[in-house]
Amino acid sequence: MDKPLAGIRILDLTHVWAGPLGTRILGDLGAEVLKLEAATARGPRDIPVVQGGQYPGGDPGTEHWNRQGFFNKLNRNKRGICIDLKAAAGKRLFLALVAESDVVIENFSATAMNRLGLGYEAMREANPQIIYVAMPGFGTSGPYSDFVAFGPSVEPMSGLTALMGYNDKELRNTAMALPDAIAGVTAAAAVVTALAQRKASGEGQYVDLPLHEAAISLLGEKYIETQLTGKPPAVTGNQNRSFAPQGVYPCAGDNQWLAIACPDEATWSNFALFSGIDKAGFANMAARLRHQDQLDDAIAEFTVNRDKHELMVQLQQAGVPAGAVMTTPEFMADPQVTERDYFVELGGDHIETLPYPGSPVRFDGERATEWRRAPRLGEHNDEVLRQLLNLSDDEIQKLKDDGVIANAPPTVEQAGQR
Amino acid sequence: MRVLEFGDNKAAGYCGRLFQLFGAEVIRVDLPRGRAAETSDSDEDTQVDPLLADIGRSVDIFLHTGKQRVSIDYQTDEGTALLARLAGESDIVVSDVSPAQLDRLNWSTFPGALRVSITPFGLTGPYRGWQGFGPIILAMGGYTYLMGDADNAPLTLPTHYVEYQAGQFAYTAALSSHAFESECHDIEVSMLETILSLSQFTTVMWTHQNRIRSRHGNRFEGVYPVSLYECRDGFVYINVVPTFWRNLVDMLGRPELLEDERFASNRSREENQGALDEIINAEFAKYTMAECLELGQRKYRFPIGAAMTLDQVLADEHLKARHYWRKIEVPGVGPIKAPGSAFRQVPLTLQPTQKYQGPDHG
Repeated sequence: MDKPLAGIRILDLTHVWAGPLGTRILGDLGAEVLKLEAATARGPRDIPVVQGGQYPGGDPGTEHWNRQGFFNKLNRNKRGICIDLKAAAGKRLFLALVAESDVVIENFSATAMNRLGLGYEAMREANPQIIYVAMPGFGTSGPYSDFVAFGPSVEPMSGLTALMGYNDKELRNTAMALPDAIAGVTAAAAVVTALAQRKASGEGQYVDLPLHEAAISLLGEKYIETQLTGKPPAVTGNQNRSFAPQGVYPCAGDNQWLAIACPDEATWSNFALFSGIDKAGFANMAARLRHQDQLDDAIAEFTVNRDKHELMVQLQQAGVPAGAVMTTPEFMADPQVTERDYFVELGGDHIETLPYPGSPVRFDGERATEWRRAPRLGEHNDEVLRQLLNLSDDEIQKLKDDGVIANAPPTVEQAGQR
Repeated sequence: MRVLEFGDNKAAGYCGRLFQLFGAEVIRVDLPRGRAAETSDSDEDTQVDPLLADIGRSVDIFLHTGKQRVSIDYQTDEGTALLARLAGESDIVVSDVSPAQLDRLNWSTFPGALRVSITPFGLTGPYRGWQGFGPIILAMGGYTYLMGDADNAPLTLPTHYVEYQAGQFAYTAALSSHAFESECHDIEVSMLETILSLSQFTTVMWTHQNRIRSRHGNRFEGVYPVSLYECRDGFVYINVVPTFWRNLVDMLGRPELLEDERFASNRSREENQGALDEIINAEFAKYTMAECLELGQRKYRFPIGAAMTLDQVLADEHLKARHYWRKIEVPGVGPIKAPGSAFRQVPLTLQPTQKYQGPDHG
């Protein structure tokens, strides 16, 4: 099994979605990822944070901070270390780890690392070849660099919200923090780019990767179209402005839908033949584009009493691009997903074995990763400090006694005293 | 490094774009006009309508500026032989044609040190031969179900999100394999699996709590107020997780809300969202988008974003100060702004101007 990033060590200070997603991808490619967290990173010990209900069985258990589904999904194949970067000894540990690493990546606010005294200059002093990737919402410079940025509030600033909705009066956000998902994948690309450049030049670099610009980059052609045509693209719901039909059509049952798209004459002919929709009035693409609403009505009439799964299979077999709008249990049980063993079961003593999304990449037919569950908070403190920094048992014990390293969160009261 | 790219499903094009930005020599092979059956952009009908022509050309400019372009009909034996010769001279060969077309090319023995395929469903499995791109994959991968209103049709994304994200995965896997001289010869990226790997908490909500995530318009399930609100000249999105509740109340100028039991906790705010929306709407209606952004971000310090139109983003001072746009010279149009690289070395500098040459100039 090929692991292209074997031998690369990444010091991962990221949190929430975008950053951990990026380092998960790098871990999937074989990089050694050291997840460095503060003791408070997963919430205080005595207040389980129930957001979206993500503990197995809804049960936070006795160590809720290690049982969070969202965290466990994003942090497989990483080793966990928990260091207080506000303490002088913690800063020394961090810089010692930088000296042993290839990449440092974080998604704090634009000024956080410098405020800790651990900015790029400090890192470069510890390791002149270090690659440092910063992922603040709006970048490390510019008028918005100090904006408070979460994925959902960055999304409208990218222009996506103004493009999306039922019409231009009923705009819709994706409501799923899409810039995080974009920036996460982009972060993996950024790290690999910098590593490849360092291999050629011998030099590290400081990389700025804002969620904002990552999201704009994925809308690329829309910005060009705006300039070529002199106006932003219209909001067209589920219709496509280049071809018809395209839509999400009702099927039998409550809230059941099927996406159908015919981007060319061949797929349209296949669909018309299968559905029996009268082709008169929809003879060519120009006519179908002119009469999209009528065409959509005719298609909805055809789909509304049919089962979405059966119709998807029938249409695909007839040469028509179609996909059932699936919920999680539906796509997890889908034959394509199960046959390719896409989901991966991970668990440990503290968390039940459950399926998590795998990797979409195969190397010579196999996934490159080893699939190790996400680390408990500070689980690999001793191992990492001993192996990488040659610390003795006594030195590690002193760090524990001084609260510089930890393997459990503080209580609310203790956190307040810090 | 030389990268050869072919296929019209836009994922290989985005992957090639990243290689081009990286500095590789990228050769794109297009099918001769009229032979590209997989997308609409080359459909004859779309060429006669100026708007549709501009839509198609925008994609071409965005993805392929800076690449060498050659036109080869690789659906014929002669064209296949020519494509194979080019592949043999390349370090990386990236394709997003269908598995059936890959079979015709004898993909597993096709020349090229490293072959990268991006296909809708992967090279194995019962859907191997199915057709898929953006709206189909988003539906099957769980995204569509979550977007839009509960009492209306779910929405798809009006972008090439699926294709470009798959292209990013392909770039990352291929560049790392090439740079670190791995033994691998074949990289396979599935577009459906790409989307399945990018669920937010949709999957864990089901696997951990047996709950199916549903759609709520602009509202973010579980936290409130997180939604889109109208102001004088457009909309703003606020993301007021509990940490920022007091900040929003300060901006609303309604300190009594902190004592109002309807809004005492995140849960109660969610239960009384109608009443809360009325208060927020009334206040925000006094301001423009720019004023809301300025007040919310600079004075009251909470996550708020303006739903900027694309021309507003193009004129935005922040992006200008960061030299984000790269200039592309388009014959007959003049210079335009195109998105630059999403990741750049600090200090940021002007991105190089490029010339769009269109297809067939290799």
